[in-house]
Amino acid sequence: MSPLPVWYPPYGETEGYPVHALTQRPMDMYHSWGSQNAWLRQIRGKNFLYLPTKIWEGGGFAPGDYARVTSPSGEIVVPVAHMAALNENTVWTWNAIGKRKAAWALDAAAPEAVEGFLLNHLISELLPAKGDGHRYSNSDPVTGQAAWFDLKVRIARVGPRDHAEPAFPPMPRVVPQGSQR
Amino acid sequence: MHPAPSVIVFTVLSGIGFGFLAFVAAGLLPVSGWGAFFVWGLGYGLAVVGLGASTFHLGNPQRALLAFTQWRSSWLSREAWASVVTLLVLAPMALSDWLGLGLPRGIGWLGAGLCLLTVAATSMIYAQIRAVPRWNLWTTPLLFLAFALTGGALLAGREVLAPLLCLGLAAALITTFLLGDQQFVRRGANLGTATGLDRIGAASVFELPHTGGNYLMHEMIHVVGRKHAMKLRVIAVICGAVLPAALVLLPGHLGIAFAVLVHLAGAFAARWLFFAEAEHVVGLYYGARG
Repeated sequence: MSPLPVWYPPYGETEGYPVHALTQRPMDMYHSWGSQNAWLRQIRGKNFLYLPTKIWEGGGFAPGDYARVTSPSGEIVVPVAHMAALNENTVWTWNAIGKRKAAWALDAAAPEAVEGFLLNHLISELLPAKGDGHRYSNSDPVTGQAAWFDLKVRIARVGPRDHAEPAFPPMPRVVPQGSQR
Repeated sequence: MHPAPSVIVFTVLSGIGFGFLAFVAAGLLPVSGWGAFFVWGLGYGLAVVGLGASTFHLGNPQRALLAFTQWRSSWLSREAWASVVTLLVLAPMALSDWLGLGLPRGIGWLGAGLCLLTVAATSMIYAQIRAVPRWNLWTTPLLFLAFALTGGALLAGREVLAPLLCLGLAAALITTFLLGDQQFVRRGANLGTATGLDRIGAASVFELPHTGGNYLMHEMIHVVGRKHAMKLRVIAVICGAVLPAALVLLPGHLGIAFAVLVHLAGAFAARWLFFAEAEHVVGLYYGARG
């Protein structure tokens, strides 16, 4: 292992997917590990995909718009926001905000479950094969698989929506909702 | 600001109550016997119901008593003291009118002055808030006093004074609307001055400080549609001041009752607007104000 940063081409197809998509986990979550702190939910209960000025203006985006984000592995429809201080070929969003409905003992209508989203659907479930043919998992279904410079996407405007897609039905509750405990 | 029904009901009813008490106390509505009992009862009732309503928006209404301790810094506390002192000072006058004790009218004049002082104290709660430029103006006490005096004169059936006061109220309302609309801009506060970033460039909101609602957004950032506000302003002036001036001239108690009811409808519209249109500067941090 080299201690120096390395560069390798993104996995899989990149033709027709001109934009890098990144995620980072909100650093305040590291200070409230293991809990869904109500205060943090109030500060950041939903996430946007931040678009640079070139994509925002080129695509004719307006506040309140959603975008269809497509990668070789899948596509999602998510809320977007303009961020001027962003590289023109990069989009990013907070990881670990989006939740499956009824997960984390939240209400099925919680903003995390309706408008919040993860990039998991855009990321291959498995890493490329190792020498022995084994493919390691590349998915974090609990807090969201992180995307770094190994994910390339394309963006198209879809106009105003009221929920992110894909949207799945609520999952069975293992931990009862707050009000029923 | 969020137009909380409890505060609207309180300020309107206690305002007209103290205005009416001022007229009755000053002897401008000569009453005696059981007539006096009901007239004074109406005045006391409006004032007390209004004060009671002001406790509805407190999570813990018994805390209202603590308000009395802060008279050195708080107009709300001074209002509480003024209202209690007024109602106590007026008690012998009310008893005198009812039972024919013949106490000097001077007590009533003192009480009438205290009534107006109470209303002025109520208005100062709002007028002293520098963070709400629309309220932070001499028109606020003027408007509250105009409403109290007009409502009181209408309820007292003063056939000359009431229409005159109605005209004064219309002028006060229109002045408040026109001057109020300019206050926020005249204060010169914007996102740049609020954050101090105006020294290095033009500031704009990248995104709100938080995605969920909070107390500040619920209580202090209330945006009214321009058309909706205009409609209510017209209702406030027409119902609050213009129509009652004519209705009070109708003969008999029915005219007074109509005039007062129409006036109250206008007063509630005006008071709703008073709160809903008031822009708190905290909205600057949310990009809600220019």
